[in-house]
Amino acid sequence: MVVSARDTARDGPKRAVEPLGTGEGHTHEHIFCAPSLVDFGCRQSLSDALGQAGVTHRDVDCAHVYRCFTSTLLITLESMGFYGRGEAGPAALAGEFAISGRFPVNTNGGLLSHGSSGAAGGMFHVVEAVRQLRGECGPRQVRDVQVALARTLGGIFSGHCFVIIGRC
Amino acid sequence: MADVQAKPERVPDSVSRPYWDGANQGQFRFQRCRACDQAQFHPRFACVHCQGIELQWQVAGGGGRVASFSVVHRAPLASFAGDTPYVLALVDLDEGPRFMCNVLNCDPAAVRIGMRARVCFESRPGSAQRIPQVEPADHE
Repeated sequence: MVVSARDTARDGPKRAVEPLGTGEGHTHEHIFCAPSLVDFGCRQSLSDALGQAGVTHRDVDCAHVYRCFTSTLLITLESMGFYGRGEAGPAALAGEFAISGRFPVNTNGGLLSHGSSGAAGGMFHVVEAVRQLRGECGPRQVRDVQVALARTLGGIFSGHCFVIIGRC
Repeated sequence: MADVQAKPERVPDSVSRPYWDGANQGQFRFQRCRACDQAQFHPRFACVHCQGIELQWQVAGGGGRVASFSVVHRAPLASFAGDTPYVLALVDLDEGPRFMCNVLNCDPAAVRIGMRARVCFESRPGSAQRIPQVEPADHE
């Protein structure tokens, strides 16, 4: 991500957005070395990012979450603390992740539908988060996005990175 | 029948060599730290718990339990295609370390989380290296 000084915000042609908080957490490389098979480095690293941003889970208006496989999304949303254990699947079925839902997730379709660029897959989420904040998403625009979350994942639940972005 | 391609060959290094040599002798060797007494797997230069470098090799008794598993129906490599469906499992040895292996000599549909298993050593065509795996503990 390329960032510029805050006082250049007025100079750009588009609405300015800024990173509010970041977090990283990595507990293992190989899955058989993971301290847990249901809780991963994303729990603490999201907590760090939210703390730095001064926002809570509830303040996140849309989340753009690395989803290499369907189950990855559900497992990580629970490990991130957005849903309790076993609750993310029913939430998906109830439509909570839809653009007009309670908690819009991966409005561009995510890696499985939008496409994955391999190691750089997380950057698609950063782009979509910024576009949502700028109101550029057209038919997939979430109403009044103030705070967006982009998250990437590496290895087998090994590496976790978050950036929380908001309007300037 | 198409030619069966050889499966990937292990390349032991100075840290892992005792483990691979042990497998060829029918032993599952793992490290225990002399400073903090914790066990670890895979072999490393230092202790993952306390970063001590005085590590001792021990031989596992062979008993363990399936912690998790999945059944592979679509092989990632041509050399595994003839094995499908096969089980890829995380097994907790009684001594503590967890490792990843196949569950052999077992109908994949019969594998259960929590199932008792026993370490066995697989010989593969074209390779001198025996591979630590598990089979159901009650398999004869």
